[in-house]
Amino acid sequence: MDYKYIEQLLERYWQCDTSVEEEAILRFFFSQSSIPSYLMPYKKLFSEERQLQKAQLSADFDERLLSQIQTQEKVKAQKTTWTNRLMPLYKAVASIAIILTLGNAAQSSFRQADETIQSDYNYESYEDSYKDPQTAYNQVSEALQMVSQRLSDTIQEDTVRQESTANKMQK
Amino acid sequence: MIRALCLLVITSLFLPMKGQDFVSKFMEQCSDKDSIQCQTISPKMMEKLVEVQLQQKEENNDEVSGYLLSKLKSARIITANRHCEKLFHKASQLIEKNKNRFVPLGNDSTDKKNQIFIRKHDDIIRELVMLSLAPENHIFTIINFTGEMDDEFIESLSSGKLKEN
Repeated sequence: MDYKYIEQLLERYWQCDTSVEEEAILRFFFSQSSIPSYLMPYKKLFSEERQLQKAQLSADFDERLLSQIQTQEKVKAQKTTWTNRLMPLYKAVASIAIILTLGNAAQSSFRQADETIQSDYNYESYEDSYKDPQTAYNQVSEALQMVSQRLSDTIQEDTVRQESTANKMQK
Repeated sequence: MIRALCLLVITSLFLPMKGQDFVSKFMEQCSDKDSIQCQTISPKMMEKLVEVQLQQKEENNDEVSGYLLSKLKSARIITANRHCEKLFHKASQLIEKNKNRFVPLGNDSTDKKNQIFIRKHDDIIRELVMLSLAPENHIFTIINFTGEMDDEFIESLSSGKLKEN
């Protein structure tokens, strides 16, 4: 038997030039039992291809697939609380609060550096009792006099005490 | 998260708050404010006083007052002629409560009815408080100065060179 035609078809098959009909001829040829030994290595290729073409889904495929889908765990819907919903808002507010706090801290520290005294006391809350500077001056002078008098008395007391101690020591 | 937020808000509220002078603290604690007179001379008014003093300096030749005023930032004076002893006791208690802040000037003074306390920061007297009780006249007085007072200020004040108006 001349297998030249089959060899030509094979050659064209490797070069991907065969038509569907020619490939069917090749499959038919290799499905036979009597094949020359030098063509035997190609038998497996064409017979498997034939088997793959014959492969079909089993009758109960749909049923099995559907049953598998149904047995899968149902995904529970997560409850979203108001706290969770408002979380981005909280985060935004927290960020702003942090920025404001840090800003305030920085500002107050700068102020302290510049105006140590002014930042020490809350002078903004002071309401002047006098509109006339002269009256206010008299009041402050009087207060200064009182403190001055008290300080002078203290110094005098100290001097007297020191002198009496010195006298006692001498005796 | 909410707790952290609350903490932050409270912190930011307290951060800008400034210190209080002795008179402010005393007034906060006093329930009977009707019997108390509080006079305040703010830093702005104090600046004007320096100008007034400059005008008077030419007439009186009083340099001490000018120097003393230049060191003061504010003055607050409390006077009361009712419940004097009770108020004096309250003021003394407040000083005692803040003994880390206020140090007595002239420790060994026998006159417990007239006391001076100072609050120092960075070796500068930031606040001077004088408590005075005159039971015979039924007068209670608190004098509260704030500013940048130093030892020279105290020396000038105690030198007796301060001229009366």
